[in-house]
Amino acid sequence: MACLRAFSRELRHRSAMLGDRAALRERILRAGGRIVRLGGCGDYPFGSAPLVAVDGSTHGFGGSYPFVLHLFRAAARSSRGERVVEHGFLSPLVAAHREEVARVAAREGVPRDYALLLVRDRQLCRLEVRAAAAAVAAFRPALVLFDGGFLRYAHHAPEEWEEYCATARAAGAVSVGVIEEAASGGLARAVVGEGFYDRDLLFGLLDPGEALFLPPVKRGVYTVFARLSRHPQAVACDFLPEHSQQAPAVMEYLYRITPSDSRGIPLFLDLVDAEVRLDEREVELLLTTWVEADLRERFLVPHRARRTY
Amino acid sequence: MQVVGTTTQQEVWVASRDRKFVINELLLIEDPERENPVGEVVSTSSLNRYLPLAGEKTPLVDEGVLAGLRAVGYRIEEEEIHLARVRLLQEAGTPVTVGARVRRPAFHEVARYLLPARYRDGLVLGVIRGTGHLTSQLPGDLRDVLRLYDPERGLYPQDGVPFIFDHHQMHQYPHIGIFGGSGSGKSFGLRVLLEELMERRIPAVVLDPHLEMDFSEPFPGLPAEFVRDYRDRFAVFTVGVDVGIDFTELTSRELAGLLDAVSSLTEAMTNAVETLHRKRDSLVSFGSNLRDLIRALEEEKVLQAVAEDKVADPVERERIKRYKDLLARYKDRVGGVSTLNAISWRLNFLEKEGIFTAGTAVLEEALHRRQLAVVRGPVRLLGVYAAYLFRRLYTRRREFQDARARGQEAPWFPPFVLATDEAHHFAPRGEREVPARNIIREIAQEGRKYGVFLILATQRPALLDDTVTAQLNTKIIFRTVRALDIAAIEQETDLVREELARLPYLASGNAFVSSALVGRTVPVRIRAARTASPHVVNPFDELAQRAGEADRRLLEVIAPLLPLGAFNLDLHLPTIRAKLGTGISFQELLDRLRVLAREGHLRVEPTPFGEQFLPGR
Repeated sequence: MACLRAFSRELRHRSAMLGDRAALRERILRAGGRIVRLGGCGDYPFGSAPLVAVDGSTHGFGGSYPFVLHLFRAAARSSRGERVVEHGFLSPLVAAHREEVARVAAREGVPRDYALLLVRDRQLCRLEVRAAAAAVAAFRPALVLFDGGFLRYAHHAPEEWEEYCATARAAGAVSVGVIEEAASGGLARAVVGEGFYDRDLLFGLLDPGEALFLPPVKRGVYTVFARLSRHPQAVACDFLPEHSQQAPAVMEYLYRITPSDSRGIPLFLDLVDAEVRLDEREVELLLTTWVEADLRERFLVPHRARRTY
Repeated sequence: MQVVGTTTQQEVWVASRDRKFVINELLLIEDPERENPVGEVVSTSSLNRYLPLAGEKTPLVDEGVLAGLRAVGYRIEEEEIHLARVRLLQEAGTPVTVGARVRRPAFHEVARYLLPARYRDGLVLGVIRGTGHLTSQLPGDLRDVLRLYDPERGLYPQDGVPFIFDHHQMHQYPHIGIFGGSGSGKSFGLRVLLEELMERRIPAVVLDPHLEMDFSEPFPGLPAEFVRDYRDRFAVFTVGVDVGIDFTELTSRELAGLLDAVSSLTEAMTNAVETLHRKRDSLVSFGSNLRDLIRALEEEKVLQAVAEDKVADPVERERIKRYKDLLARYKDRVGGVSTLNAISWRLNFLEKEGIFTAGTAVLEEALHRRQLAVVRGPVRLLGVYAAYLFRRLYTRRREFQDARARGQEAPWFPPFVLATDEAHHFAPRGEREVPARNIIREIAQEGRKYGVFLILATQRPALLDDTVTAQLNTKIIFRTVRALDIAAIEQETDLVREELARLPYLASGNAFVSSALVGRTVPVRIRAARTASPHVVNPFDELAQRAGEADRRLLEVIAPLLPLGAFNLDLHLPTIRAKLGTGISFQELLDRLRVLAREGHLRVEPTPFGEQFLPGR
């Protein structure tokens, strides 16, 4: 009990460091932030060019390395109903995959099963970016929403991401990465110092419909924070630096297409998320259809899955 | 369209984003390992997971959001997903591949499931529902072979693959049941079936308690190329007029049943009939035994006092001897005079009905001519008569067959079909003794051997005798509402849950055919009959029409006398009465004139002497 009391004390201490809401807003404004109330007309700022949303999903199944299988699905969907869907899988039982895992394990100095997770994230990012690039080429959208921040793509699939950015710039497709958990720390660092994530800072800070614009950046990612629904957690929206100009209009539109009593994610992105999600049942169904029962039981079912209670 | 979810060897789910499924349509699953199975849609649903029911986890989406998305061309309404449960027509060896493509089949890919091998001369009963899109691919001899009818749409062209019943197979799967509530199209179904029998000149007998089995009038509005003249293909017989009972062929039980049909017999009466009646008794012998016994009982005391050998008059002596004989034989076994009297008046009643004056010869001739024999009579009498008639005809046919089997010569008697509506009256389940049930049971069980087939229609399948129901190899099931009847249908057919659930909602004329002959349940829309039932005039239309006629007649009579009014009505009343032929009173006439004025047939003007009626405009 004592440890929990201490834990709670520490949290309270940290919360106090952030100061009260008014003071915090004040500090943010002083750091160059601009809090804007959204809720203008919210019209789609790009005429007739469609909107595209991109998301991916992965689901793993199996016991111990290497008897593991990860399935991937990524989709880019336009507001006119067209889709690009990419599928993939990863299993160390496949020689090529095993080699890649070994390479990453050696390079990063981590065990193979951990390396496998890195490779999995890479794969998923690659698929998403590939779907997005294909959608930009095929549907000529003016706005592309990603489910997740740009740093993730830049980190896990740097080549593909660079290529995508070039395509998007050339095609004039404004890309936005919507992050529900702002796990970044840039804003927090600038305002209160180390030890906090942006989300901690932003919780309850903005009023519903408020957006926090920071000064434009030259390189990397331009991020806008906004509370798009009544939920107190703000989301972060990544833009490419050269699209920071369009950010205010885009944020107005995103505010418009976010249901006010949702968790604050634009509806269209949520729809693609739901469509793409590989859930437990689906994966199990696929496996029971394609892998014989005895092999499944021997290699893939972790013994803990057989618990009765 | 694609197979989704869990599949089995019998059933799959099929989903589609852009096409709603049609109930009963056939779909082909492209699964070569299972030889591209064909299935039938047995239930359909559409859902939009983004437009949830209130109370579900997902929040309702506000209109502003949807408007914002509509601006970029996205409509959440189009997120509808269509689902169908598809039952395979033939079980696959292993479960169908999940994800297999699904499409609508071409006619040649499904013809073998839809048509019997000998379809060219089978009974054309209607169209198979859900096959509308195959109409244009049908070969010539299956195209435009029938018309359909719907009270809303009227007559309309064939829309789908004809449902053809191969009656040759009845040799193996003999009997047909037609079930359905009133207004479900059951009677039409029976009519269509009988038309097809006449078309193929299959001898048949149909009991017609409601006087609706007439096939002379073509169905109103039916195009000429579909009209058939059946006038020489059927013959109507009325019990007691053209056909009757040969008394000598009656069994005691049948006779008792017959008398019971006039008015219920007590146990004592039944016993008396069975005691008195002897095999091969004629109406005269039975009747005189009965009457003499009554007299003997009445005069018992006097008779006992007389020693007959002392009676001089030989006729009288004979009489007394006979009476004493009867007393000796029956006195203790037939109850009292009142019992016998009760039997006697029933017998007289039947005799007066003429039921014993004619036999069945004319009807048998009609069967020899391969006609449909329509037998009419009051329901109660018909029940008894059916028992007699069915047994007689069945025996005729059986004697011929048995003789032939023994290698003997016997006069030919054709195979035939026995049909009736309200079958639960003739063969009800339960303890109550009903005259026709035994023979219907016997034919249900043995008729196949002799080429005697049953078509039994009823709105209460739950009340039909179990043995009989179990022998109906083909069942045509129309709309049924009562839970008890649905339960009976569930037991006796291979209808699945979805189909049973649809039974209360089937539109008139739609039916499921569950047949050992087809091997599966086929959803059918029965074709329009080629002939019309004679009493189709609505009684309320009839009332209105009659009222109209009376008004017209009155107008005709008074027209030359106008203007009429209270001032001169007296004067003309005798003339009007004479012309109308009724003793209408002054006040009645005035009231009727007022009604005619209100309806605009006359004009009315006020005068100092009261109202004046003038010709209408």
